Amino acid sequence: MARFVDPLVVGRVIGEVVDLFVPSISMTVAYGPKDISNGCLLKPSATAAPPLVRISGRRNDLYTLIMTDPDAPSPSDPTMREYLHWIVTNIPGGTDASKGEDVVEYMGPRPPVGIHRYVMVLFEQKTRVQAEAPEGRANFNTRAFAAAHELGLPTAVVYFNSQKEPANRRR
Amino acid sequence: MDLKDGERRGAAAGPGPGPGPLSRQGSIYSLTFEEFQTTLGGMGGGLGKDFGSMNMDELLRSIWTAEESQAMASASASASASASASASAAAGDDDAALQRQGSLTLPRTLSVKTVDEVWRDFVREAPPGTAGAEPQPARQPTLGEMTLEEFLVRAGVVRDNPAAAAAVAAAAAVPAQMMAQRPIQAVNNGASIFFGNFGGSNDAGASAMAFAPVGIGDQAMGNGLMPGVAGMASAAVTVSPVDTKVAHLDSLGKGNGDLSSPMAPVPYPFEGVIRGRRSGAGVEKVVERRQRRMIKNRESAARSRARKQAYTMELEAEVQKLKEQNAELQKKQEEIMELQKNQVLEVVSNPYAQKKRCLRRTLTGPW
Repeated sequence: MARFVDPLVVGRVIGEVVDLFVPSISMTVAYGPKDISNGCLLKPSATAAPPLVRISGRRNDLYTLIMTDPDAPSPSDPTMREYLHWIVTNIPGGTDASKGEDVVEYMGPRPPVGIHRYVMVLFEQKTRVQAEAPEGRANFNTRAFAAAHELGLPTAVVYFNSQKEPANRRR
Repeated sequence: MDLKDGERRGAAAGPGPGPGPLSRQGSIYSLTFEEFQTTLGGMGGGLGKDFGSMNMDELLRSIWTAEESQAMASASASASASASASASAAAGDDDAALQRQGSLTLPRTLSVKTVDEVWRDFVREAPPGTAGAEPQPARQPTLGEMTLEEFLVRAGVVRDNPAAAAAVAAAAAVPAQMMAQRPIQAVNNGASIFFGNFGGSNDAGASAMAFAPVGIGDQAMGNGLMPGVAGMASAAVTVSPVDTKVAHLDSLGKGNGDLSSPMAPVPYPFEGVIRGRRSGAGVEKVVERRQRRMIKNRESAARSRARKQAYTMELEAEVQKLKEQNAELQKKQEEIMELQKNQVLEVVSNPYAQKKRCLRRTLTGPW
């Protein structure tokens, strides 16, 4: 799926999480049967299990997927920006994220206050990566991680929004 | 015109003492009605009728006129005026009075009432039995002896004003009384402003400020300590250095908010705080918190718009892409259909072509 970046600019994903890039790989993210579009609103209960992330690209290229929340703990005061939710490395092109190696286990969105953005960034690796998990999930920096592992600019980004569900609907 | 009002209103009221000693002259607000009327007469205020028959609107206007002319006089004598203010403050409180600024405004229901009517309301509201709640019940048996300040407060012209309080953070110690800083309605004289005063304070810093040359000190305080508030209120309020030193308003303090009309128009930004009675330092915090909340709210609204726009863009792009894809597929389908149709037509127009070829072989069989 060829995506263009305007929604990412308007949604301030480009700027707050990654720099301006040109999408070269298509990535589809599906929680359950439905593909998500940039900026759609998903319930935390619907995103508790890891999504199916399919990517295009050649078989012998490897990719890294990172999912972060730049709005933690609250969008108006994101003192934990970014909160790390998932890192998968060494995903072969043309497959999905389950074929890669989980560096940081998937953790579903649990936004305490406000509407948070959850950003999935795909990088193309130059070589096989041996990444170590960061010490904590809070205050992760996607740019710094990319720089540390020579990942360069992203090749695809998808993001969605999520908001805390009313307490009675959770049970 | 001079003492007539007092005599007519209350049988017990003797002629007023005339303009009081210096210590009473800190502001015209501390004058009684009788004194005020005399003062106006002395200044040539051009007052045609007595206060009783004036409506509240007219009364306020005459007070402003008097006040402006008095400000000229008192500017030169500011040092003694501030000293006298502290002296008279001692009656209500044990330290200096600190002046605040604020504008007066009249609830619409009030501005058309005559002074007489308002006074009658007072008498009805506070019968002698309940007057014990007032700190100085004996001081106001008649309108003529009532000070302007008391009258205005009780009539609901003035109110607690947290905005003005932000100007004087030092007032934390005492439950300070302040005036509502509200635009003057029903008054043509838009440029004139009316500084209400007020509140005693125990705070040493506050008393120190009170001894500063009054006209200037007041404005400096206003500008220095209430930047945000001044910005909010400035649309309706013009600041001019008028000396309105008044002592011990808080002797009347409790309840003036209750007496004021519930219909009083209050400018939106102050409303919430005006209802809740708070001390000076608390008010500053509240104002700050409110501003922060306002900023946050704006940011949040901007984010919300951006979110919506981003999603719309995404969906529009998706729609565009699917349309193109759809058009392409339809075109392809048409081509294929065309091809198929041609084949069918060929078959129909020449039904035996293939058969013949097949048959020919069998026909050319050896037997």
